[in-house]
Amino acid sequence: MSTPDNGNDKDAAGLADAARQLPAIDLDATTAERMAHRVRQDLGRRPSPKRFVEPIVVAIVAASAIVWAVYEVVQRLS
Amino acid sequence: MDDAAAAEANWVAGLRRGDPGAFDSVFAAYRRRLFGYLVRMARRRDVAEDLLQDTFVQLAQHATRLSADTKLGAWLFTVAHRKFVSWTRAQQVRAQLAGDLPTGAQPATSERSPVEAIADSEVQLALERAFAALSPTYREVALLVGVEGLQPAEVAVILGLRPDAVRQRLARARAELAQALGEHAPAAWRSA
Repeated sequence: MSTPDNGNDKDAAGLADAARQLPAIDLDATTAERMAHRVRQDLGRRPSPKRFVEPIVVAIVAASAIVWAVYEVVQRLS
Repeated sequence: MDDAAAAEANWVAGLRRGDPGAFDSVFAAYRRRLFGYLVRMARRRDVAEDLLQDTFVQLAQHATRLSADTKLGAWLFTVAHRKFVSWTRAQQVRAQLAGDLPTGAQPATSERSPVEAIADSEVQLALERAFAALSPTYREVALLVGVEGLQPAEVAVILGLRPDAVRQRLARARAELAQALGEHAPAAWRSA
């Protein structure tokens, strides 16, 4: 009797069968070496904290705009 | 522990120490697999190169904080998948702002894609076209299971899906590929 796992194994095996005929794709050697060299420089280096600056500025501006809008509405209603 | 698992454990230990030699070994072992996956997903070599570099930058920056039992293949494919998803979203936003066609509905073109261009037989060309014709959600599962040889359970973790969702996508991908391949489909599919 066919079970979901059996069907799944057949699907995986069939896909592997087809995929074996696909051509290999790779970077050219120069690009690969340049990329490895570039990335190696980041080894063990944590991402820069500067990446938080933009979202923090956006959050502050957005929060200020919301507070200002709420304040204006309250002022006009009172 | 088999040889591949032992080598991977050594690489992880080396990465945790910040050893450039371990990084080079991981880069050499996974570069081609990740690049093939990214080219076939993005269908652009330049984008695949950028996403590949971003993936390895993330590995380099997290190297010393990896846990000792990290499965590098699953870790790298998870990052590559997320990079691809972010790129796709950015493309869609850019297209909407430009009032352009969404990237998922690229206009038909008679030019060969980068992956089709390296196909050197009718069968390879038919296969590349059949994979390319799959929707990205099915293509991704087909590539990770069929080409990369990952287990559906691993693919579920990489894609953040339930295992039964992966199984459904796998069956659907195989059915669509069989239909698209026609006479080029594997013999087992034609007799099924």
